Amino acid sequence: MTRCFLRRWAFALVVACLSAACASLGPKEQATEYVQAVHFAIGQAQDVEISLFEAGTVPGLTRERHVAYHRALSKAFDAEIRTVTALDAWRAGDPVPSTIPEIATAATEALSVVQAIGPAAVQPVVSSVQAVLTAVQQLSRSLGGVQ
Amino acid sequence: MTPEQLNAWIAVGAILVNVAVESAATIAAFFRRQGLSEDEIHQILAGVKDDAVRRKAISDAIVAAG
Repeated sequence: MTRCFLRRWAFALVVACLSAACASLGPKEQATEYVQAVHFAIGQAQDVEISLFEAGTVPGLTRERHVAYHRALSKAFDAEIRTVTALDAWRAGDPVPSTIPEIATAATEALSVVQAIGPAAVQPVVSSVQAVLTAVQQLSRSLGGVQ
Repeated sequence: MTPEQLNAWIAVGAILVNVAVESAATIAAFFRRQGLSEDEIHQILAGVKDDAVRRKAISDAIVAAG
């Protein structure tokens, strides 16, 4: 009981320290963390859809929709690659790279493709794309954007 | 010191060691977060970019295959 209590407090302390550390990160460092989150999220959105399509368990996930989804993801990756290049050169006070909203636009396009199938059938894909949109918002905010 | 007191101190010591070991990685990350150099940021971004290029090629291949 005591051991469990102490461990919870120690964990809370570590979390508090990490939160403080994140708050002390410069905008470019924060953005670097978030751009990794965006990349991870798009990667998940790719892997999850490919697995589902290959399993063939969702009748509505046709080859046409599969291709349309990856056409949108390709745009998202393209915008992400340009975002990374822009971020590398970014300095505090610079505007938010214009490529960041492009990632959101491409992700929204991918989302509309899978939502047309029926959210319940492709929920893991829908969730993964929504995670991309959330990560993009965080990235934009970290650089001073209001998206 | 009675045997009960000794056992209690041993238990406290074990807890502290456990907490320290389990938190070591997190604490290391905490100190790393105190400052990434421009070079470190550049390296991280280069890694992200390389993987994004690889993943874009996968999606492009799916589109090309129709």
